[in-house]
Amino acid sequence: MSLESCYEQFGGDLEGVRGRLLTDDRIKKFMGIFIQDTSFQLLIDSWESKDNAEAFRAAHTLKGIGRDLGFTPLCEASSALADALRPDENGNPANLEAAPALLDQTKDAYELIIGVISAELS
Amino acid sequence: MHSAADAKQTILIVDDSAMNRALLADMIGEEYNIIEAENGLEGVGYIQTMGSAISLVLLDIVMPEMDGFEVLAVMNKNDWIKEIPVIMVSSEKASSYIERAYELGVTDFISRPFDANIVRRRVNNTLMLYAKHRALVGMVADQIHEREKGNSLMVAVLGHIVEFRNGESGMHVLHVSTMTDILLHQIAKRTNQYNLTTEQISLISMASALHDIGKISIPDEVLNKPGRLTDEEFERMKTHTIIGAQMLDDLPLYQDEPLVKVAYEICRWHHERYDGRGYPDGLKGDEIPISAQAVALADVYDALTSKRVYKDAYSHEKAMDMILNGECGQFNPFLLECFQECSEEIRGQLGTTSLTDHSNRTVDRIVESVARPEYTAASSRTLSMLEYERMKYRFFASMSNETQYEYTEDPPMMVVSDWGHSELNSEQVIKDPYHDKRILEAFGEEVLEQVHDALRNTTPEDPIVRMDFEGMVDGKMRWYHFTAHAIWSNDDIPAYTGSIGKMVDIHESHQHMVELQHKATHDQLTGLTNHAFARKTIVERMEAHPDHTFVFMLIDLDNFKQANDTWGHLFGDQVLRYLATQLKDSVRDNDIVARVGGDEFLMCMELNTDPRAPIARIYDSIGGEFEGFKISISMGVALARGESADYDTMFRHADQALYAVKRAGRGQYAFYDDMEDMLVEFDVKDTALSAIDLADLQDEKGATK
Repeated sequence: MSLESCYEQFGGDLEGVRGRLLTDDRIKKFMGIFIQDTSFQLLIDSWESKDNAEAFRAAHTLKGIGRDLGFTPLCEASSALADALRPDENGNPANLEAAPALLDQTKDAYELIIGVISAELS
Repeated sequence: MHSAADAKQTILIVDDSAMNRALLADMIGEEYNIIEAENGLEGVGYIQTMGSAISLVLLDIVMPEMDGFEVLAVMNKNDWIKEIPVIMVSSEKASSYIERAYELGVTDFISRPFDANIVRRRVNNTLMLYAKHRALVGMVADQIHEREKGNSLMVAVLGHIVEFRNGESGMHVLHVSTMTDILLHQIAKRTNQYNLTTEQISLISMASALHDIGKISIPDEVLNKPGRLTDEEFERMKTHTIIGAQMLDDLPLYQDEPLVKVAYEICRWHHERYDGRGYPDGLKGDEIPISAQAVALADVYDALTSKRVYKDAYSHEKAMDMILNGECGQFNPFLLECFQECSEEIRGQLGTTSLTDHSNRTVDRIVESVARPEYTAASSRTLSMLEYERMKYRFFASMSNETQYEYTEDPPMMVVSDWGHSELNSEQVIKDPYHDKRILEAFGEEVLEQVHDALRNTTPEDPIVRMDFEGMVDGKMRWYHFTAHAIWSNDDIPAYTGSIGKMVDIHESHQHMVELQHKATHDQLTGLTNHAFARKTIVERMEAHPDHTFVFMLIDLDNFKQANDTWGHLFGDQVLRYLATQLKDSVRDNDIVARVGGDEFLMCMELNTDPRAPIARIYDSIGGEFEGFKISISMGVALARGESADYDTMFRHADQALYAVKRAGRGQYAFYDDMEDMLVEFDVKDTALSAIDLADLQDEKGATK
């Protein structure tokens, strides 16, 4: 699989990732692991069951992973989602109204990346 | 000491995202042993069980169950944070988060995105720093330990000799040593003039134990003379300085040991005085080594403040005055200044000195001076001993099929031993076990409440709780023996902080006990209660409820002898079993049905209503045929009302009523109350149980006629 082509297709930051993860092998290895990571599913499930605290954690995790792997659109969308869901002092989400739109963005970004990686892998 | 080089170091990664853990583990590389925990609670569990076998923790902040800050709080509370470095890893960039993490004692903070080089370097740096630090503390502690071992031994031996020889308390050597140590530290703080290193001071305080070693050769009558010494005796006494020095000089080996050299100075010159008026050599000023000067002052102070054969103990203040006024000879004015400065510490320490304190104090002090001040809590020696204990504990726990646990009240958390958590099918670390679903299912609320209350009701003096209870394991109820030790804090008002304990499966032996108990209290043939146990139970019930009405029914199976004779004993046994079942079925579960003789049975029940109707119903329910043998019973009934009725009387009454029934032709029942008048004519011996055989005998005779 060509990393250049992948990152170009989903608008990722390949240069940055190479600087941090050092080898292309490691990048590929973790892209492979990313496909199997359950954080996204957890986000969707907990959102549907209205478990906002769990949804926050899942968005937060996605944001971290997105940043690590240079998945810029995913990172940005999930970061904004995490901020919207972040529990305030009373444990309520900071900005629940904004969440559905941000969730859609996160979903789009995620599906795009998964689509590209799967296609490149096969 | 275990060094960093001899094994892979272990790094604990606590992060709820598997992806993050994998990424960090990959970046850290293979030269480390990686353990992963998926939430804070699990992480704390690892730290609790492995202790400082974990070299470093990488800790995420946002996690379920217990977040990173809570983990840090627990690590602080247990002082783990001092021994196990933590690097916080997080995508949180808010400075408040980072600040809080540092306040809670994290060593470093790595923010996302993870950079392989940065992660590796930070991990290596932190490990190096801590390894160096641990090694340093360890080395110092080991050295001190070696030396202190010798010191303690020497102090002990000399203490005994001195005690033995001149009736001084063995504490004198120890006091002199302690005070010398304090004085010299004070001097070292004020001046470099004497080149007093921590090591040098430790050596001098140890050697000070030998100051009076020469007294061994002074004759008893001089050494222990209660009155004033004559001039000649005093001259004799003075020689202990030279003799002591000579003894050290005569040592065939160790002449070059610094200890021996210092001890020589002390022995020879601890009676010299600053103005040159001491003995044996009349040295002046700083011609007297500082070691001997300090010991001399300590020797005088302790002699003044202790009771001797020739004097009482003076107070600390009085002794200070006497020394400062030159009543015990002149001392170095600078030394006296130092003495005044640390006099309170001396008074305090000498009041409490014991052998172990002494070692610990020196270790503390030296460790303190070379290491960071907050690291005096535990040396790596202590830690490695602790690790050894943990290893031992885990090993024995795994061998014994015992469930062992440690529980802390704050945070409410229980760590269960390996075997235990597989036995209980529970997590190894259980948050809030008193409300944990799995634990509640296994033991039930009532048992947990009992355990909880029992532990809280202990005292620090008597902290042990023992109890047996049932638990549901693998869907089966089994008996367990539970032993626990409540942990109380050392505060003035002790607080309950948790408990440690174990639970042993005693199901088989418990079952055995139950069976034995059953055998001892029941009739083997019919399975009914035996007479002794029935009596005990009834007496207990009557005593518990003296105002209740108890009905005694004594029953005899009619024509039983005939059944036995005609069809044999095996058949007889079957008949008895059949009747026993009928009797049991005729009353309530809680009523007592006992076999009290060959074919006699006792039933006892409590009734609040008029007993006649129920008795009639019971009597009528017995009957029918068993394989051709007609079941018929005779029954005597007695009623116990009020306190005058005791068991034996009631039994006898029922027995007499039964006798009357049998005399009247069997197959009926009668109340003792109804026949009281009639019964008067019977001899007391004429009761059913004593007369039945006789009656049967007569029947037989009648039949053969």
